[in-house]
Amino acid sequence: MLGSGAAANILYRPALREVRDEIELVGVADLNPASAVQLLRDFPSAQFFSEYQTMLEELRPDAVIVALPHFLHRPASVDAMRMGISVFCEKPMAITSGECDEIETAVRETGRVFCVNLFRRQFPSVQEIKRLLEARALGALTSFEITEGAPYNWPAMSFSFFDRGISGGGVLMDSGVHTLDLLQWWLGQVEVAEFLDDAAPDGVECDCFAELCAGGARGSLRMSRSVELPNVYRLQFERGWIEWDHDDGTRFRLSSDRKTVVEAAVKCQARWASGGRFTFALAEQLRNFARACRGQSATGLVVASEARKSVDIITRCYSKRKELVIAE
Amino acid sequence: MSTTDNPYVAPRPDIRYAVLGAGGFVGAALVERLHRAGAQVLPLIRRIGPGSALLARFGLPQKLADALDVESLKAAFAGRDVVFHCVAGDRAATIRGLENSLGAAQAAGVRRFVYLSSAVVYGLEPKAALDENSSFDPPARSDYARNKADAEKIIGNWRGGPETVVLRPSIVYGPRGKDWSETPARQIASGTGYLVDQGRGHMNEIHIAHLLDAMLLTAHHPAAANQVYVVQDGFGLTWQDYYRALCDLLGVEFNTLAAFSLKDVMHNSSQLVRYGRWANDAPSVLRSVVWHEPVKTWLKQAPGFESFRRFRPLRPAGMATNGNGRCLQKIIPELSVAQLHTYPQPLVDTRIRTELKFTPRLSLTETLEGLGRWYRFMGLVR
Repeated sequence: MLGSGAAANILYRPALREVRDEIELVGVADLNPASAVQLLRDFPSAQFFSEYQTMLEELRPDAVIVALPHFLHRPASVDAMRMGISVFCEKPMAITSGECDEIETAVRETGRVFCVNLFRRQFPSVQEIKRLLEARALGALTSFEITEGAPYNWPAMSFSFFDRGISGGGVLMDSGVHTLDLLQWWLGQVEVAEFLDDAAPDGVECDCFAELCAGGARGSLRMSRSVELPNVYRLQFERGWIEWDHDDGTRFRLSSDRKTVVEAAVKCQARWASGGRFTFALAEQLRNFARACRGQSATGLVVASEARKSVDIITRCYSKRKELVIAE
Repeated sequence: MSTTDNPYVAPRPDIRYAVLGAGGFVGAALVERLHRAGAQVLPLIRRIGPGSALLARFGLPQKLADALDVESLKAAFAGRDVVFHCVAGDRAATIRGLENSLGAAQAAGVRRFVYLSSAVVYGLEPKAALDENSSFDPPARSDYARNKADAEKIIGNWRGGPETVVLRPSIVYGPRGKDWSETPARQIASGTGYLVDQGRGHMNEIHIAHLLDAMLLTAHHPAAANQVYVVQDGFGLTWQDYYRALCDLLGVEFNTLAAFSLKDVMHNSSQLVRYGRWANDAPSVLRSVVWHEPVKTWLKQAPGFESFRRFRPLRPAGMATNGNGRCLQKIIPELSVAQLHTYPQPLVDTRIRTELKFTPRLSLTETLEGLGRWYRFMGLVR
């Protein structure tokens, strides 16, 4: 485990406990030993290192989980793959399209497994919506509106999330990676018509707005770290609409006649409807990752060529940035 | 002279500012104002949280400083000329936090200390128009009001530097304001908006931009040293005016707001009625444990039980009707909000206007346009 900050402790620690029959945690590397205490307590045979390069050289693990600050995703992933080590990387894959190019090159040249934690694709509700879209069940897409936001409450252990050089951006580079990954997974290529955010050149955005084109339609994306937004993905079609409440693992709403509303619930394991669905989704990905590392067939992994698409969209957004005025 | 022409309002490049409580609504807005003007500002926050995300927009280093930790304050105030104290919190944060802050500012050689108090120190039922000389009457049930009143005694008795200024705004509104801009808008948009006694009370509002003007003005003006100022917009709004404007912004018919009387709200807020409501609403399992026969028997014999029966609500708690008699979804008006909706007196801010030439620079229309932009972003506008 490269990094033992909030993501490692909150997301990966419970998921690794679930998959300990298939994955053995042998080492944890972080600059801050105190942040690794819980991981080392749960996995007592794991060793602690303050330098990830030292850990990779001494332990030579089969694979690493990269849960470092965003700006280290590229160097850590590339370093590991060049040493013959496969990589499961926390999102985002990297902080620019150029960095994604370097990772893809390393994947090609080393043949290692590389994938990114984009857990929402695992949700049965999300997969069912994708099936409906592919079947054009409601006709052509005519517009979409996506909102996702709440006051920032991630229990960050440092200010690294708020440093552009470290995080690569604000809300769009954070939860926006999931949002845009889903959007392009559902609708295909996403073009950026306009992007506005509220950051100064050296800062990271708290709120942002984008006009996007995808699936032959135009739509909008609003994201916020300052205020609660409706948190609904609404897709409008010729013959109806679909609404998904963000992060609902099993349910969504649809209308096939614009009048009656169907509350759809996907038949699946009960865990997808529980609060533990995030751990479940991550554990499923880690199991598949382990299978892929062993050369076995594995499904549902988001590989570099797919994971980079959301970063590419974000890179285009930031390149078109205009000021979003909210205050005063 | 408008405030924009007032030389004491503009942030100054030669002054080093610190904002304590920089993660809150006012603190974050003040940091934004100072930073955009190119001033040297140090945002001080208690912990990494929602405010950090707002402050991160500017790429400024944020510093952790706890108002309850005097050493962290001394370190934070070192080299600062002006400290703005915008801390919100419990009694310890309000009282001891202020004492610590003043002590740390004195030790650090801070020249001026601007304290954000509140007009709530006058209480909720003043008998006459309020100015700086009006007496305090914080309601016993409001910890916030009592804490603010006690904090003012501390700063009022403070001697030996820094120079202090106390500002007493009432209702601060504007984009990113939760209590008086976000919450009522969400209630109105979701069909749970309400007014008490037609919202006839004085709102005594001040827009965030104007409050920042007043904070900067009093931080810089020589005559403001060791003074207290009441401050407000001067638009003379009632709560009904404000809610009507919010309805217009949100595309909601004003007459769909629920209407309550202060008398009903006070009645429904009494402890006895609350207890009766709990007994009716509590899950049956819990009720069966607590609300068993011996308790009922004892209560029926207890003094005051008859009063409890007499004061049962006339209609189910939280139900209200709109102008057409349609029953609305459950709304439980808060007593503190109800008392504000019926606030009987205006704030008189003649002093800051005459002595410091404070004049709000935005029109009511302009302040509402800003709110409208924010509501559109939030997806509240129909």
